[in-house]
Amino acid sequence: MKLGRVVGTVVSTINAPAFDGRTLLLCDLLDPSGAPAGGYVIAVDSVGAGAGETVLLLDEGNSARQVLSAPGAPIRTVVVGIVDAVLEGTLAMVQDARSGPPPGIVTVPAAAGPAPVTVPAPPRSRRRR
Amino acid sequence: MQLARVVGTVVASVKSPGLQGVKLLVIQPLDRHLRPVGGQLVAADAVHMAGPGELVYFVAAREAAQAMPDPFVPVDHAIVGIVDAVSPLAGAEP
Repeated sequence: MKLGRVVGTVVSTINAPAFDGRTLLLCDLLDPSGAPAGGYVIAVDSVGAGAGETVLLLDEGNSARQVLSAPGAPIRTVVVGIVDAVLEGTLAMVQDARSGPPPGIVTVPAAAGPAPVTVPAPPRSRRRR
Repeated sequence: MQLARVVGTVVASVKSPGLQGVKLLVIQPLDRHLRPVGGQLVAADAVHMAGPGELVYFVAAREAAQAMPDPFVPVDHAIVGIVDAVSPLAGAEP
C-alpha cells in the first residue's frame, strides 16, 4: 500500500459501468515523512476521504475489487484508510539481535525479573548391552 | 488510474482474435496539472466514446482487460472514463 494526499476529485459522466456512483479522488503520492514522492494516482474512494487528508492507498486489483465488492470491475487503486499518523523509527523491536540496534536508537535494558529457574537435566538412559 | 489526453487513433486490420472490434487510441499520459508526462501509449477504449483531444482516465495492467466486454483479451491499457472536470478540493495543496 502507499501513502497519498487527496488533492482533488475527478468528475466523469461517461465511464465504464463499474465506476457509476463512485467517487474518484486525485491523490498525490507521499513518502513516509509526508513529503510528495512524485506522481499521483486516481483512486476510488471507499472510506469517505476529504480534501487534504493523508490516505492509505491500495494499488492491487484483486484486493481493490474485494474491498469494493465489485468482482470484474476494472479498478486497481482504492482509498482504504485515512491516516492519523505515520511513526518513523519505531521498528527497532524487530531488528535482528545479531546486528545490534541501529545508530540513534537508544536501547533500554530489560528490568531485572525473577531469577531464572534452572531445570536439572534428565538422567541419561542407560544403553543396553 | 492516470489522466491522459487522446492524441490519435490506431488502425490495425490484422490483430489477435480478442481484439476484434476493440477501438485503439493513442494517449499521452498527463500529470495532475494536465502537463504531458512520459511517453505515449496505445490504449483500448472501454467507453466506446473517447475521441482525439479528449481528456480521459485510463487503467493499466490486468485491470485494463477487466474493462473490456471479454476480460480475457490482450489489453494492458484501457480508457475507462472521460473526464468532465478535475476539481482541486478546498483545503488541499495546489
